[in-house]
Amino acid sequence: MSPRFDPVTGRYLRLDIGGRPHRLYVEEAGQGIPLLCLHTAGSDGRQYRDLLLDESVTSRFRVIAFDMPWHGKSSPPEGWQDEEYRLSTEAYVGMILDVCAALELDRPVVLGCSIGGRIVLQLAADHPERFRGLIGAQGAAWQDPWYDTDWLHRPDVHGGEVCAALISGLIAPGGPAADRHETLWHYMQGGPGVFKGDLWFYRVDGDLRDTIARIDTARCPLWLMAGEYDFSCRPEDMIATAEAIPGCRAVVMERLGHFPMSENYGQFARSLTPILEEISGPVPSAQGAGANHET
Amino acid sequence: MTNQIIDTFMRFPVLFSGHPEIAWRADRAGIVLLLEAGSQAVRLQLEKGQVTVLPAEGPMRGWDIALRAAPEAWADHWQAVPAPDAFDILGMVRHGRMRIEGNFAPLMRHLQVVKDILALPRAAT
Repeated sequence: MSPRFDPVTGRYLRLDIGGRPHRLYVEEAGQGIPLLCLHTAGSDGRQYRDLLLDESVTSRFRVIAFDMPWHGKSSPPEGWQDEEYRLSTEAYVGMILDVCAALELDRPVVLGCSIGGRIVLQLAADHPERFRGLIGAQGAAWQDPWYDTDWLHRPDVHGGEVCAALISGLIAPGGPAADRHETLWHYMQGGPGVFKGDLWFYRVDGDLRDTIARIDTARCPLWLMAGEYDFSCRPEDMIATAEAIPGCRAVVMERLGHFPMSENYGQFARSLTPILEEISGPVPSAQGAGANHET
Repeated sequence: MTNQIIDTFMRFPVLFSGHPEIAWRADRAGIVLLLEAGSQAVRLQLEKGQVTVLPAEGPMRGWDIALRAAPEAWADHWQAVPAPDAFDILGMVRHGRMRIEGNFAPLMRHLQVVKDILALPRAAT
């Protein structure tokens, strides 16, 4: 019996990010328009495992998901032990542009979720010519904090357990149990202080309410999406941002929470597929692994 | 409805005993919750893998953290498929349907176990 490998390639990419050498873990599948996927704060590229397996997407798109430095199988930069990890808006944009350059991507589509859903707004404002389309899931220019991030990294509370427990209620009920729990597992595996460091962008440095005034969707189309069970980036947060950007399309997704691509890909695909078809053009027959997922 | 909610609070030890997978994770947990539904309340003690429901009133009857909600909010939390504003205790706070007050340290140490215990009536419906 031959090995049953998923049709996904995982490799380590050597590149400089912000002028420092990095070793980044990158997974990809498919051919066609580059679709660069950005994971949520405190997690990693495994959130896109089902998108990477969806043949209806990989037949038209080269789907690429990388683990940000400090996350998943990507190493922190040399000297990490002497610094506090904090993701800034400038560093986040620089990382995405550096990854695009290192992979020699020609005007990719970027699909980001949560912090990734917000940073696409900065990309849309400052670098629209570099992208074919921008999709922000659970993306809004700002939302009010609902907990103190200090709880995420302290010696008297288990970091992995509290990170997962805090976000567990952001996953909608009714999705496949294995996928809901795998989404939590990724959070349990984060390095100490990394989720908190990501949220420095989300909570402190990444208020993009003024930035979005510069967005011209005629230069690069922009979609924002939000799951109805997400009480962190609520549908009303996303809609408020979309309504402030002429030409921005807004999609509220039923039966989904803050991690649509990971918690219930089949349900997410119902909203994502029309967007991808608008970018690539319709496909006569769409079949793939994602279609087999319970919704 | 308040009495129905208090009756459900009183069932937590029985419900908990039917879920060894939660008891296993709760083995090292220690926390006392004040559970308030409208004008009535009980204390739920989780200690050494055991759940006990105690009166709220009385001398030297303390608690670590209080979860205060209207009876309707608790009932909504226990629907088989709760609405977005009633699915998660922290989400209920965000939606203005619950107040959580007190010492957050034991809650954050045992947050998933506490969430799972408080959702047990949902599984029982």
